[in-house]
Amino acid sequence: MFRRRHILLSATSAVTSFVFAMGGRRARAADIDLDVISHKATSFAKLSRQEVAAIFTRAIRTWRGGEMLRPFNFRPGSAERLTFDHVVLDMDPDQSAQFWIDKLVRGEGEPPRKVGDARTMLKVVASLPGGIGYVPAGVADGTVRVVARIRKGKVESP
Amino acid sequence: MRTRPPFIVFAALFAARVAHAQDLVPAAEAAATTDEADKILREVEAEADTTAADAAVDSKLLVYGFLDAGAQRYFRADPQTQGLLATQSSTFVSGNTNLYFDARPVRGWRGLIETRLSLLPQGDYDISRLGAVPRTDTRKVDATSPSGRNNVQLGSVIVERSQIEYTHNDAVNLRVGYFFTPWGIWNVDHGTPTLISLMMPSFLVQEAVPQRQTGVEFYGSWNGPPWQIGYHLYISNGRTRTLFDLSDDKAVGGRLLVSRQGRVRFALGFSGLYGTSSDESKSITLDPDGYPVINAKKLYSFTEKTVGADLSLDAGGFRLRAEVVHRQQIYDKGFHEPSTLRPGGVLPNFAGNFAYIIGAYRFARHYEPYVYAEWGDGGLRNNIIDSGSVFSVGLNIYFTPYTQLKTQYVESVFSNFSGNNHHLGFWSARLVLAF
Repeated sequence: MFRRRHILLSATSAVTSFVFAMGGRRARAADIDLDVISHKATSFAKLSRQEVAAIFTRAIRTWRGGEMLRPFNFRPGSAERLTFDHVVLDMDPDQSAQFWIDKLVRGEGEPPRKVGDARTMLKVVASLPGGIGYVPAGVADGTVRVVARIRKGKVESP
Repeated sequence: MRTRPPFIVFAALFAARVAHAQDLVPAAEAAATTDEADKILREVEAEADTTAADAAVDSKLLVYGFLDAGAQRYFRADPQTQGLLATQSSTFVSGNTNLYFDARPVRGWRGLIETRLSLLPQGDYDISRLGAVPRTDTRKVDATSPSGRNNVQLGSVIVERSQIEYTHNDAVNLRVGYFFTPWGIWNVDHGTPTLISLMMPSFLVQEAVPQRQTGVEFYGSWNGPPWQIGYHLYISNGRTRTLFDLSDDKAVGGRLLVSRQGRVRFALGFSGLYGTSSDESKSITLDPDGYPVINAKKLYSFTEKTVGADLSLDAGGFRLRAEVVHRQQIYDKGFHEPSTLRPGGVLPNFAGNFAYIIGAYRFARHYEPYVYAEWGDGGLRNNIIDSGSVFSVGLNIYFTPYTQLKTQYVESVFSNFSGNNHHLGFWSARLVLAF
């Protein structure tokens, strides 16, 4: 009896330790301002938070049945991605990862492509019809259209 | 979920040093940025090309999947129930090894193949009929081995789905091939990283709804964020025991889904299936002139009508899943299916009802306890396990979004194969990895 109880306690302790050792700390969303940008030829001038969320979760893949949309994300863990996921999608990094795992398991498609920095984001969004992404406030130039602004944790019209 | 290059570990180890070096050489950073942008541009532009030649050069194939393995044990099986179990001793098990091959060779088109690598049918007992219960042994001598005499165990590849998809726009998509029946929640989620519970509900185990069908499916959605209305309509071979349909009658089915995204996610769905099914046997005889003649004999035929409703709700850490299913099976006159347990008997027309509900709550990032309750009545009174109820509790421990330990204890009561109620406990645990 003692042996069985000892094994049970040891196993519980090991599992708990393993969980916290492997899980790491939950990343906190950094609070930075962003501009949501699109290719200049897209047929929309502004987007609501819910529309941006639907595009980046791939619920909307084509705009009003017409042009194909190509969303681009920053890499997980970046300040831009943490803010965007938190403010627009209402997801923390774990929830975002789980969301896309679920999508892939169901066969519903892959997440938006990822880019590493703002300059790359500007270039791909400006170059590709249907391109949509986001950059830190002040980075967007005349090559793209700003369709929404994220200021102090809220999505605003441009 | 993507495949990662083998040097990822080394890349991680030197990430800080590389980042520091890039701070010192902004020109190198700019070049890398341009390279990345150009690479992404090339890949995406290749997808937009519509010529087969370009597609052949730039075709993109993603490989991802999941696997699980663990342990399980049955408890308190009475002598009659024990015979149904492969073993009631504690045992380690290798579960699912699912690989997805996801190809998008050209814009709008997609090929998705999901396979499950399995060690089945090794050790499988056939308890579908009276008499001695045979067990499958797939071990073979590997004569190609340098030792010339070691044993290997053959496995199998289970095709979970194999489908071609074409996307016109959000509202109009086409799927052709062997696909998961668009039904409810469980049959769509279907994989251990996504499901809450380990144990599959009875309406799928007892195939009240075929898990997969071969045919053509149209599907799509209309979006008015945060709301979405989705549909699936399909025509298929329906329920078949072969890879083809034995009649010109095709099954038709569909699903209508209303969902809401956002902080509180919600989905309400309705599914239906109408189809016919039949089976036949063939024998070869000789005609009076001594020539072989192949004779086909219809064994049974029936019409099935199934409807279902489902509800899912996600609010913060809380997850709720519920499904109800009603099914009728009506045999054509003179073509009732033979009973496997009553020699000479046939199965009657019958109706079945099934329902389950799962509630789960995730807290402290890692832990998700859940409760599961299920009730089912297959309506077929001479099947081995036909009706019963289940109450279950479980705990999912998420190490990371990609790795979790799922545990579940099930207390079930079922009846009908000997006229008495039977109780059975079942504990299972699976370590799950998505990649």
